[in-house]
Amino acid sequence: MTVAVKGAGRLRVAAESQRSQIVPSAVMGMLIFVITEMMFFAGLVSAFMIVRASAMVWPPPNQPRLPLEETAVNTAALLLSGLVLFFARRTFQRDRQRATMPLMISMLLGAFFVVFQGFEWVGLIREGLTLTSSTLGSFFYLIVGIHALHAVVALGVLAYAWLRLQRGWLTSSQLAVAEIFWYLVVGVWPVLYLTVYMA
Amino acid sequence: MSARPKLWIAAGVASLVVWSPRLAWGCAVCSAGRDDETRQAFIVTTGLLSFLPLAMIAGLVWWVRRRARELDGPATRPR
Repeated sequence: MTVAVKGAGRLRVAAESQRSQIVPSAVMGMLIFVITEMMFFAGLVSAFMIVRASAMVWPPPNQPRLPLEETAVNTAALLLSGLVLFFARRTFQRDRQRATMPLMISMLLGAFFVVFQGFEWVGLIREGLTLTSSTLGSFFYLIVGIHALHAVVALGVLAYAWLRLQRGWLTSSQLAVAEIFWYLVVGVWPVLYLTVYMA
Repeated sequence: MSARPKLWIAAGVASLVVWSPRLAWGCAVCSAGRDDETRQAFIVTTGLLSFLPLAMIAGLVWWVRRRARELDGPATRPR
């Protein structure tokens, strides 16, 4: 039932009946945030592609090569983490409590990715690839570092969701927010791997 | 103004738009684009940065519309 209410010279219509939200506000907010973040990564990748194409020699001489094979394993772990999170959502829809384990596995795989990246960075810095050593180093640490920052924050969001799930407080839209953020981290990484590592 | 002069003006403007940048190197970084690889990178990144936001916004609108239809259910859909 709808009731017309006159106020401040304007006719306002207030719906008394139950209103159903098309998309929860938190999910919509996260989607808009993810769109802006994807444009941010697209800008960085574009700048990297132009600098690489304009360079006389690429990769720059006297710089270590990026570890392709090791990072491929890491990439597989991250992709698997996204897949496990997808199964966690499906389990959540059937039986909420049973989703605890797949959500934990997804987080552990994500944490493995971040820690492995950290070891890779230490190795590269020891070999001489630093933020100021070359344009490759600058772009590598900038792009991969920003991705790692996103991964760490997204892991925090997943951990928060996991804690709420443990206590039985997690709602479907809260899980969706954590999922969308993690899928950004998972989805952007193969693009970065192909453009930065395999360049 | 009749249709024919308008057509000529439109064609003139279009050809100016198409050919001028190539002559002028109007953009500060276009001087770097003399070799094919750099030019290719500029084209690819221009395409990426132009179409990616449009595709994402279109995808979001499509998804919200689909959700709205799902919530409306078959009873309220126009027959």
